[in-house]
Amino acid sequence: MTNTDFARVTFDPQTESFQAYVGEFRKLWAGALYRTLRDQARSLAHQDPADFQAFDAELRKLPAHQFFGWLEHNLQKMKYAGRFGIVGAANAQRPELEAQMSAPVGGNRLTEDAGLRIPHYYQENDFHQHPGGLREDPIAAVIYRESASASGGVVGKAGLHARYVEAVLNGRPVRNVIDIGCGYGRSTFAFAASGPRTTAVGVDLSGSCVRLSAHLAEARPERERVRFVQADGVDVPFADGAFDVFTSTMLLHEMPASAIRELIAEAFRVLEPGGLSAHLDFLPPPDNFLRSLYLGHSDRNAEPFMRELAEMDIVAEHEKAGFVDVRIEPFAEDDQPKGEKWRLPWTVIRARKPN
Amino acid sequence: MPDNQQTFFADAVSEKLFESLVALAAEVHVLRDRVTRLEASATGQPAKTPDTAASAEAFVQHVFGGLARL
Repeated sequence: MTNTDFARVTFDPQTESFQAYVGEFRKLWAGALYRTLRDQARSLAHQDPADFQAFDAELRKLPAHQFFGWLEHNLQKMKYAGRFGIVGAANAQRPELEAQMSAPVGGNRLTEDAGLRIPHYYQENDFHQHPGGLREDPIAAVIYRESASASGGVVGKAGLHARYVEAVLNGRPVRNVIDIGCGYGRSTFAFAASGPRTTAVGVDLSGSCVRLSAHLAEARPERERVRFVQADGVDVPFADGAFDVFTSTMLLHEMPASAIRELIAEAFRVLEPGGLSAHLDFLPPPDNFLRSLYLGHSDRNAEPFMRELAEMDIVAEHEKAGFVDVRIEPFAEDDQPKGEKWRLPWTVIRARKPN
Repeated sequence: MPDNQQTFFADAVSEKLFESLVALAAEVHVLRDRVTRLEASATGQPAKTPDTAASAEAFVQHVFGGLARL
């Protein structure tokens, strides 16, 4: 069995048809409908960022925006829930999937913590409209992976994590990486693959995610150099200065501002002098149209803390924690021309702990 | 399927109508694919089962493509 075969959800033909319908609808939403909305938004008044509230109110009145918002919210919901949703398909195979997930993990690749104190924000939100979130269900990570791999999924985008690693390391060899909010391990594997002696620890609040990651690692060439730990990224069970890279991928926007501050402080603690902190995330651009879609996505996709991240002075927060050389740069997640499809505003936030 | 926790249209009737239309179209699409598969099976041509992505793309464009020309 290869790692791509492990704990996959098999769709019956009707579910496959339904998911293809949702996927193609998402392409229409993110492509042609987005372009129509973009073009109409250009003719609105209040384009100055200082007039954002007035612009946003006008944009929401456009019929194209009403369809856009409806589709963004409901297509995601349809992907998961209902008669032909991923959750239903996974539940139909639950005994087999649970058996695969609960199988012993080889080596020292998995550390679970059944007594971990789960923060309130994580308990109270079903991020991305994932029913029940990634918390208790032992197959939650299996469902998450299927959703992320579906058409329009962001986390499962081919080559994304390798591009991110290349962007932050630029070929520089690193030794010990800690990857917070590792999900089902794609970012952790990408960092471990950056060098023959690089080790990487994936950390996640979700027991299901770290368990799936550890299983998936078994078929990977870097399996002896990765391990997965269930823990809160703001309080990881590692010594001061244990790592030369502290990273996260699409995590900050799921955390309240208070937790982000704690995470930055924890990064400073576990990084060695000269160590690199790097986060791949989304920050709103000054353009009123794109800012409105960013903030609207926060509401429509059950990601409430995007608004808090948007309000933070992320450079100042890093400097307050002691970091230097803080940089915020746009990130190209693929080679496609930008502006013709709706995309979240990818951003790399990097900082260095002084020597 | 869609719920009523968030609303996007200017009036409740439009909201409900669009929700119903998307749900109805989903049922039609699933059934169309199913009929294609059954016909292929009945005529002994199982290799001619539908390409689900191509079928869905054509269907969504045909039914909803006009949304992008509002």
